Amino acid sequence: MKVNLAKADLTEMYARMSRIRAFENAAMDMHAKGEIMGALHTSHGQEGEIVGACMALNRDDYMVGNHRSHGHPIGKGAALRGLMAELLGKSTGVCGGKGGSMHLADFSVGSLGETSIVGSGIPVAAGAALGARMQGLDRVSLCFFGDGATSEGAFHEGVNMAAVWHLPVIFLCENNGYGITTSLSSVTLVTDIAKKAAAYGIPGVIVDGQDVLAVHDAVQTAVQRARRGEGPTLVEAKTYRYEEHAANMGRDFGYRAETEIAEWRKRDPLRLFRERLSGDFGFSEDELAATEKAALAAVDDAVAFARRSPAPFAQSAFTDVFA
Amino acid sequence: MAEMVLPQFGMGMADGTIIAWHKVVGEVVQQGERLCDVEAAKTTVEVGATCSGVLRQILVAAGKNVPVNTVIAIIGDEAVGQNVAAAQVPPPPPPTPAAPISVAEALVPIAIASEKPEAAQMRGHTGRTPQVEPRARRAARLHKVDLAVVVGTGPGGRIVEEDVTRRAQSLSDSSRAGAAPRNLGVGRFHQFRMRFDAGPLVNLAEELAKFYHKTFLIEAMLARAVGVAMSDAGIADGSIGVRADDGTVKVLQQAIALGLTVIADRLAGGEAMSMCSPTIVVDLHLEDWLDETISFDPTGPASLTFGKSARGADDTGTEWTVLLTCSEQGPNVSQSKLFLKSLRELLNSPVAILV
Amino acid sequence: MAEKTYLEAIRDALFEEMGRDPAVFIMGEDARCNFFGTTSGIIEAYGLERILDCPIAEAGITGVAAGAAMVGMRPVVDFTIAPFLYPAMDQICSIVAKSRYLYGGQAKVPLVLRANMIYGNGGAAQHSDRPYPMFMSMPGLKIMVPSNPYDMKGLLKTAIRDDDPVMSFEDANLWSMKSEIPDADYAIPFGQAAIKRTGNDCTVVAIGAMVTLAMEAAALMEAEGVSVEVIDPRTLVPLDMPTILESVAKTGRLVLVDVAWERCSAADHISAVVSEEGFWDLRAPIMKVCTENTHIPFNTAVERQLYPSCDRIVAAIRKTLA
Repeated sequence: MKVNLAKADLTEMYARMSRIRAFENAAMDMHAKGEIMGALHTSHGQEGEIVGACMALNRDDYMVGNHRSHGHPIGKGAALRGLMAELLGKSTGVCGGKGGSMHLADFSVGSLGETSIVGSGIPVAAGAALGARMQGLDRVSLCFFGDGATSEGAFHEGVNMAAVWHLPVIFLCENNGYGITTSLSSVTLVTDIAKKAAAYGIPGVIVDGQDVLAVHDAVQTAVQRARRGEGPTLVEAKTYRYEEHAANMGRDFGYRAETEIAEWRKRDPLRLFRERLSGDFGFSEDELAATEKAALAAVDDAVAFARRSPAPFAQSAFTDVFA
Repeated sequence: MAEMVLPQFGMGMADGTIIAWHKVVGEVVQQGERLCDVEAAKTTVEVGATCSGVLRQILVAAGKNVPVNTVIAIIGDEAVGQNVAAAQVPPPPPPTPAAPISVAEALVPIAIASEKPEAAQMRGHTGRTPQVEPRARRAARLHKVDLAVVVGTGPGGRIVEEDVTRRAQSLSDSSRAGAAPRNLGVGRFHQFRMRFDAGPLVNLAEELAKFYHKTFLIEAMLARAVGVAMSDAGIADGSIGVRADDGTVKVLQQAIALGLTVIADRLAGGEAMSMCSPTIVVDLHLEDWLDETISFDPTGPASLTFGKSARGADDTGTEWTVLLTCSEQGPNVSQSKLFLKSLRELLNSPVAILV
Repeated sequence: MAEKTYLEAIRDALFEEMGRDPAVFIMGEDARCNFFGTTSGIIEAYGLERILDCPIAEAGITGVAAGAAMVGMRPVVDFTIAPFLYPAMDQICSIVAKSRYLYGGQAKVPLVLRANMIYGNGGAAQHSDRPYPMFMSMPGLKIMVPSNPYDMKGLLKTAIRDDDPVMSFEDANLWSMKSEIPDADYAIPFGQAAIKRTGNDCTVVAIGAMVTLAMEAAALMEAEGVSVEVIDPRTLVPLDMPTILESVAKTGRLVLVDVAWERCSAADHISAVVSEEGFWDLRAPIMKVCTENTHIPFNTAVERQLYPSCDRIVAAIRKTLA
């Protein structure tokens, strides 16, 4: 695979991945201490497919995601402060404290919202693509969803409509093998999700989700296809989630073997990419360390910002129901 | 279960118009009870229910004209609660095919389970404390009227807002100088209240005592005043009673024409005779009379209660209040008004009672 | 001025708004072939790109409309028959109603969801629903229930121009009803009830096609010397409670006529609000005339007895006077 990325882009790629990891670590910690309320779904282990896909898009391209939401806007280039403040429910959060962890959104970087009803974002992503095309805007729409979502009717309806109308959408299935505690193989006979694309007449592509560059390449191809007006692509990133479905669930449900987790940890996307950056792209240890350090600092800054931000007014419960 | 048809009142009658329904769907009806009015050949006839039961359906609305023998209503068994519709639905008008149905034609009215027959029993007085509509309660609070003394003129004796405001109005009217009727219930009784300065009467009594060397009881003077006022009010024939300290009433029959001295003699003489209506009983035994209390026997004659007014910081002691309470046997409203008007004039200038 | 039917009013509103704003477009199943007569001339005037035929995928259609709305378009979705909203429930409730709020005001969802209520014709249990009360409960959805062609056009225009999601529940029994429609552009604001008839003895609030029945009942009661005030709320969300409360303060009596199922109907809600806020104005219990709480059977004679009728309204008015 020929990589046509400039050093700055590669640096940014590694930076975003590092930021996601640091953000998720901080969030888990704060959640365990009760500082973050509600359910927290982390993306440890999935940074490769998230950033690889997001960075194949322009800033004004659209993205719709799901409850495992933190990585997506970070991957799309959103500022960390607003995201962390949202996790703490502060008025300075991207959603003014109204959405929380499962519903991050940053319209300034094209993130149209992480919707927490499984599968519900799929038709919305198709709609964004339709809207862009109707207005003559050269924008594509990226939709993140898990393997579990492919059982939902919304997946079928959204992908089918995008296909038949040739909408510029990239349907990116983050296949981490489980829907909470249920393995993919127990809910479908077709565990290679990309094969389902054939039912809609669109290309289905399987890619190694732990390899950020591979994902980037696959999504870029899909983006170019979309921009040419050739319609949507279903990209399936085989990946893995290192932590529990939701943080601090309290017990080991025992649906995953420790050995399995250990195997996948050997293919940590950050480490894999680090090795490639130093090995194949001539990044120095200092450069890499600097990026990592910067990521940690950015997250620390975001946490501090979030902590000192004010809570929303009580009256905010009643705003933005209507325009 | 019975179908009621439009009856034929006369040989030539071919159709009739329902003028009004006097029962609503869901109400209990008795056989023969007036169900609706029908107009035919310029005559309006009351149509009674052909059987007892619950009015299940009204099939012909008021204002509609239908041929004789058209089913106009359905009366169902009281016991049957829910299963009205199934076998008893009259065939609806056939729908216009294909075109959207006009709502008015297509929807066939029927009384169904939700219109419960027992709702009919909630109408009217149950014999316990009267119903009070929320509007009336609000008015009572606003005007500080005791609902216990308000008689309702609404359906079934319900107290309606107007009953309360009327009482409040009359209370406030009477609080100014002047008699005002307080209509506490049509056909039951009415009550009038008036304040007057008893000074002139007391002065006259003193003068009479000096002049005649004889003490005239205030009761006698009041009874004479009552007689004159009754005459002024057009009450042709009546008795005057005076309640004694022991509670008994001394009655002076055909007392309107009796002069003061005769009255005084007869009262002193202790004649006790029966009352005939209209009778006004003079009762001086209510010393401290509060305007919220009514103390009279509503089945008896009129009672004219004199009491010292409990109100007023500058109570000179001569301000008295008169309460005239009239039952059906007493003077009617218009007579009562004239009576009090005349009585007031007499009490202000009591010399006239000597005539 | 011209006399137009309810369907023509819908069509005219769509046609005129599409001309006024290029962001407005129509999507729905069988939209292009003008199945109900509401899209005549639109393809010729605006092209196929602005009126999309969709697969039978109500959830997908709704989600696509929502996504398009979030990025600047103003879709008008034709659901054809009201119960077809049910497959789209999650998209309506989780995405359309909530996105603006959930994302802290970043999202704008200016779409219109139109649904016809077709009943009284043997459509049977799955096709004869009048489900607007379900959606009244969900914050974030505006609901209109036009009772005549004039209102239909004016309210639909407001709905299209409104930046919030609007659900339009249109009663098919009104399709051939005619009103005088002005030539000039007009839009009826939401949250403003119309007093169709003034009166002093009883207030009747009627929803949608029930207004026609209420007016008939009022005319009949007039002959008996009872003066009935008829109010058409026009929109259920926002709901013009002040007009209703003011009327009840005057008359002291209230009858609510709602063709939805009685349980948790719009009538239930209005009744509860008046019971709380207008209690002391009442002279009698509040009456409701609604569709019976049962499914809709196929046999039309059996079906039609279940809906409100002029006679039932008259009976209810009489009860308030008793």
